[in-house]
Amino acid sequence: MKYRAPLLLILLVLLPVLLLGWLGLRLQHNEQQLLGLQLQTLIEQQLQSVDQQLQTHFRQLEGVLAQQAQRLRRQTDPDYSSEALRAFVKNSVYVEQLFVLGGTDGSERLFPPRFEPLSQAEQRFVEQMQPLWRSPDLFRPAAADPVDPLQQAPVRAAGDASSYLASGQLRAPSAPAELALDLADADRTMAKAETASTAPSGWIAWHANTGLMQVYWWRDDRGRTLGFVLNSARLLSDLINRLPDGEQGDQQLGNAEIRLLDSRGSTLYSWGGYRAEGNALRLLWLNHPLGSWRLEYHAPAGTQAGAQGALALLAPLLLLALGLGLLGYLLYREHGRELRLARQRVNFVNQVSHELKTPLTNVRLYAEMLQERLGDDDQDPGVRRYLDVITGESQRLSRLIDNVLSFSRLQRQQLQLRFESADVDEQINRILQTFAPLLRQRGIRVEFSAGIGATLRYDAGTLEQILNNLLSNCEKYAADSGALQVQSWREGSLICIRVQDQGPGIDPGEQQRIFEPFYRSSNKLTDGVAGTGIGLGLARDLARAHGGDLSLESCGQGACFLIRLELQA
Amino acid sequence: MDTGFTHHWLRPFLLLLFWLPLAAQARDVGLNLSLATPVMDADSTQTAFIKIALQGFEQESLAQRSPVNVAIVLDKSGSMSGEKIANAREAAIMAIASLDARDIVSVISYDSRVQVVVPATRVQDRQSIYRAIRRLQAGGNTALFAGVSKGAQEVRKFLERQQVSRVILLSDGLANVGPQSPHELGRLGQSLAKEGISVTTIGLGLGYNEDLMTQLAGFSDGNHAFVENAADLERIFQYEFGDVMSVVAQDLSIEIRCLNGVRPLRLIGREAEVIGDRVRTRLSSLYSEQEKFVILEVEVPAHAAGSTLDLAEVQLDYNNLALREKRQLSGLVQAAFSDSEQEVQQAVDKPALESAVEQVANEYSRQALERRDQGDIEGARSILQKSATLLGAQADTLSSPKLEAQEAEALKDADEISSEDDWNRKRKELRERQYKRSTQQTY
Repeated sequence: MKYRAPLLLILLVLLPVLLLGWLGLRLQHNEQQLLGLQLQTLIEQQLQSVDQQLQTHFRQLEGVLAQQAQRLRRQTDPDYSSEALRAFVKNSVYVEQLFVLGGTDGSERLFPPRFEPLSQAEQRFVEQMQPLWRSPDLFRPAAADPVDPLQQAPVRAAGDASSYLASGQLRAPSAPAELALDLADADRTMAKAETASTAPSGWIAWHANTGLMQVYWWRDDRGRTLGFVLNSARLLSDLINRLPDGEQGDQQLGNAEIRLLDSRGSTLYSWGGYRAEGNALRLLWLNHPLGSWRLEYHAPAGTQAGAQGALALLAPLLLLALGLGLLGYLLYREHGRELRLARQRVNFVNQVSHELKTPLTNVRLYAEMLQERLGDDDQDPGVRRYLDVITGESQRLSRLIDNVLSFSRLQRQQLQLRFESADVDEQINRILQTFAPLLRQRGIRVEFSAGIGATLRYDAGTLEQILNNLLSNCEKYAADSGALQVQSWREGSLICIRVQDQGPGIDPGEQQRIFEPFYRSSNKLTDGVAGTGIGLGLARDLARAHGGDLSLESCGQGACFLIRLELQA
Repeated sequence: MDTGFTHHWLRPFLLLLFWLPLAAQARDVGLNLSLATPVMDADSTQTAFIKIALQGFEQESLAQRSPVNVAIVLDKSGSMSGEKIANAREAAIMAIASLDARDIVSVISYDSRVQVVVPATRVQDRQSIYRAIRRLQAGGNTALFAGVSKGAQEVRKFLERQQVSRVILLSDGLANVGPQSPHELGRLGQSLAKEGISVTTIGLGLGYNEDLMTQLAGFSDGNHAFVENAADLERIFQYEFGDVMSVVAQDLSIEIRCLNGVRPLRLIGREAEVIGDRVRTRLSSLYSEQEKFVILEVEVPAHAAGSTLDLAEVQLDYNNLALREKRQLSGLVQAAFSDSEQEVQQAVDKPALESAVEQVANEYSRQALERRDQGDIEGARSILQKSATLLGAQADTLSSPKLEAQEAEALKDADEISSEDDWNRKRKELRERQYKRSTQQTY
């Protein structure tokens, strides 16, 4: 109870802050997810376009090699001469070794020649390639279909590649010229005219013990297959030359890195400004014929952005919490001051009531003594009447003061019941007697039907105070209403007393509120009638303190209260 | 009178006619074929050494040299920091200072990334080139393969057969980004050689991989140098550029056809392709007044005394930079047979035999190094001792101070090959020496 106000205030501050914080976090989280998604697609695009660049190299290389194959084909009469093929290998920058397969089933070796001496390099080459030659299925373009996408690619690549790498100065358009370097000039025009010919051809990625080998094969019009085994070091060198160097990489990627890795997972080349170890954010396996190679995208793992976002979120929240906290504190202080003031006021009333009690008791005492002294010789009926008024008013005043004191005791939970043995009916009768002159004046007739008729242990003071309040209400609000019926009975360990008047009664809408302290039902009935507004509430609190209750009962006419008090065992 | 007049008129003309082929001769590569043992023992199968020597003609003047197209590829990995990078920068700048507006230069630096510091450009605005080089700072890993790739790419931008194209690689560390085996780098070198680009490798300090560097240089017949002290870099760069600017012939391809049942055994010290009775090899460049040679070991079948035999036909195709045209030379190696021991001894071609012995001993040195790598120190030492014995014996009979010096070297190597400390330096020295000897490097 004591901590209710601060608790409420803390709630008041915390709730909006927590709510806003949660909402903010949700929002930020969503935003980050969206950003992450966008980033992922961007990265994917970048990697794809790198892959496209590498594919472009293969396409151009394919063009050059196909031309050279055609040139070799033209020189046949009718077989490929070893001399010409060796001269080609000797001068070709890209090709390390060459083989020709033919025969009925297409897997018979025509070059390197089978019945002529070979160089050491050729012998090694033959050993290495035997397994490949034994599987002629590999030299079929359509079935496995690793080649077709390559050949169809140019259209697609033109759009795609421009997105990323083509924007760097990669001289993509002039690349074919670079590659066509080892074509003899005289043959160039003729060869170009023939590029459109559709000899079956394709790429094979062949894993030999020395690593990945790329083989370009080309089938001539007689079903012989020319296989160009690329110099893999040179191939890698050319691929690297197509990729951005340090400065371009920094410009294109900023604080990120793309790595090209081979089938063993070792880095072949990397570019971009980011240089830390760690797991890749994204990974892309390259297309055939670099199938076992992959690209990795490395970048700081988004922590920076997150921290910034959290700060951006935390700062306003903190401010809000501070503001609300300050407001709450001010309210709390205000509330405390008012509470203190109210307590001071109650104390004051309490003190004043105490101070009033003593002189009032004296007034009552002497008035009563005077009444007795006058005795029966009532010479002047006016004197007796005056005395009755004095006694009556002082009794009313003392009831009022008792009410105030009891109220403040209840408030401070200092009320103590004093149980003693007494006859309930007799006490009720006595109280009614006390009120009798007053009620009679207001035109109310009291009818008491006693139903207990026993001496019981209870707090007589409490019962008196409750009845006082009910009767004084009755006197105030139910004037000229005829009979006031008071009934008493016993129900087990309960004393029950019903007080029912024939007055205007209480509105149904107000029946709940009449017991609230300081509440006075406001209507024409109460207008102009003095009162403190604590009477009924106090009466109920007292009854409850006594283990019983005071309740409003429904009845046909007027107000009907039922008092119940628990007896002491 | 009539004839006298004609004579008078004809004389300068005839002189000119005489002089023209002579002038052409002076500007042609000399192909000298010699047999170490021109007279051989009759009636026995034996081996013989054929020396094929190419003599570079004299470059008339520096002004008439061929334009060069050079890419300088500098290692700027973390290990290069401090003195080393500073020396490398100055060496590169000094070297470029010796070029002129005919020439093309590019500078590439690499750590874990590759940077084209100066894209291929004519040497005109020197200051901006120098500024770019001076900005180089060391730090990072060693992406050697990519560095060489981009260097070659820059050279390729202005590639032309009539100029000297070269990539000069400086590295002080192990390649640790990208391909790093000597084999892979060698194959890159092989491909570049086919384009007419040769690679010179300069190993700085004790951290680099000498096998990788010699293989890379070897396939393209470039130079190789082991520079222990960064202060020597300027000197080495000067030598290298001196070489580059004195190239008189390029793309020298030698084809030897053995005749009459003579069987080629091996070409000592150089990569060659042996197919049946044919041997092919190529040299990338020949410098002014330089002699380069290859030694072919052949097996000669038995012949009767008094007969002569054509052993081999040699054909040389090359690109003459002075005449700016392709030339072809050919020659024949012949041997005689005799029963007389004395005749055989007297006929010995001393320079040819000297060269052959030098190369054979060099081959021994290589084998010793291989043994040492396998952990067989004793085996390595015995090979070197065998080599020293051979050298000693031949030095005496040929009275050759050159072979004597090589004998001393071999003995010293035999001594030092067993020591564990300093083996790293020793190995680099050995590789360098072997490389220089087998390619007849000028410096």
